[in-house]
Amino acid sequence: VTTLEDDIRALLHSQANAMQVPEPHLSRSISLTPVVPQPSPDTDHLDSDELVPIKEINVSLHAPTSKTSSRRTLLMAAAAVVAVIGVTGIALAIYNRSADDDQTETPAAATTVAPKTTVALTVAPAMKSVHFDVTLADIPVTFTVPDNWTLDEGNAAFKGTGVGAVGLHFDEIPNIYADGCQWVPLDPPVGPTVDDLVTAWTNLPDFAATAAVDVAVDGFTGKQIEFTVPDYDIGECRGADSPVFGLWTAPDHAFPAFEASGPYQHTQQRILDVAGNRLVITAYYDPNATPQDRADLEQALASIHIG
Amino acid sequence: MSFDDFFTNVWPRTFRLASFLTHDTQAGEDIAQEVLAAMSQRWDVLERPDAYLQRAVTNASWKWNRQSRTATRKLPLLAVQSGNEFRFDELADAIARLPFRQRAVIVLRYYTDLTETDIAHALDCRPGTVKSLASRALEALSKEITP
Repeated sequence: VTTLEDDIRALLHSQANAMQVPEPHLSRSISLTPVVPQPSPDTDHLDSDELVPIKEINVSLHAPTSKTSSRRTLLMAAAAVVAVIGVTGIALAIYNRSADDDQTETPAAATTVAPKTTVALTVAPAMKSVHFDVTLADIPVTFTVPDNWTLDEGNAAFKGTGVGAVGLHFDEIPNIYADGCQWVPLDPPVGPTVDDLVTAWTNLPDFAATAAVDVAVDGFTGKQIEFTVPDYDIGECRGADSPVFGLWTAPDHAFPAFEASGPYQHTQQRILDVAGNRLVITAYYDPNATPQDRADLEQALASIHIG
Repeated sequence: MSFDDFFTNVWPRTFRLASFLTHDTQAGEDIAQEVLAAMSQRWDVLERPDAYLQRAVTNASWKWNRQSRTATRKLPLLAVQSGNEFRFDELADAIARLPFRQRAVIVLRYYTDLTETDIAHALDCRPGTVKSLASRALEALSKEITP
């Protein structure tokens, strides 16, 4: 009797063996060793402007199909746009100079072109809007984070996973761990209300939870609480080849739904009642997180909309 | 090890990994080539080339999947044990339908035999997320295939 995992392994290896592995080829030599066009008997009779650089021929032969072609087309188009802008700018400058020939020339004509270039080169910090349907109740949430944050599992956005990590996490939190290192859940488990979860965190002696305060997000009310993950030795924790310190369980309680980024992680939770469902918005940062990353986290937290 | 030796050694499995992750052998070839070409430029500064390769291939495949391309192509399958053809066919279809990250965990765990830590690195997520993705994927697969 084979297990599902055995079948998956057998299937994947069968598919792998059935794949026709293409001949290895790499265009690396093009950039590392520029090819100098050499006259050959076939090209001797051609005019110089009919000769196609051999370097270009190699690129098209080795390049990976349409994607590179498209990229090259885009680059050429971009170059063309830049050229047009440049020519237009020069033409405008010349035109302005000619038109102003009868007047006293001022540096204004020349400087009117330059600022346009400066504006074009100014790039705003890249942000992205995120939409998740979170918890088993599929509660819709939207928020904004820097573009370099990672989106995970449809319920988390973060930067980094260890030292210096910051992030947001959305969950209902079915139960929390009495011992995060050994994944021992609270028994009996946390009840379903906002206050049940607040009480559970408050009763964990090592977490130094603050007193809960009232909070509202988009009209949904609840409690806000903050706590700090205690010190722990990850080498002593459960998790096979990748031990983790779990903070709360997944819905099936088989593994942590969320683990600490490290000891002393600062954690703020907004525990809301959304139409009878518990929604927990967790904002966390490692003590070594940079001020900028913490500011980004605050901004992301402030941008959250529910519904 | 020189880059040429590395390249020769990893080319087949890089092509296969990218093909699994995209469910498209042409895309797999393109991605394998692009990633290895990029690595050749940085070969001297790469401390863990294998880990870098897995992450780069996974990222490139993820981007490819995000460009609104769906996994509709069927990968070839060699003859399997008698009586298992139908089950394997169903299983292959079910794996193809998994969300990208769940499929990636399945491929990285059962084809490349990576540890959870390495899978987490390849997917840029927490080890706990790997457990979660694997659990959800296996649950989905077990529901979809005939016992």
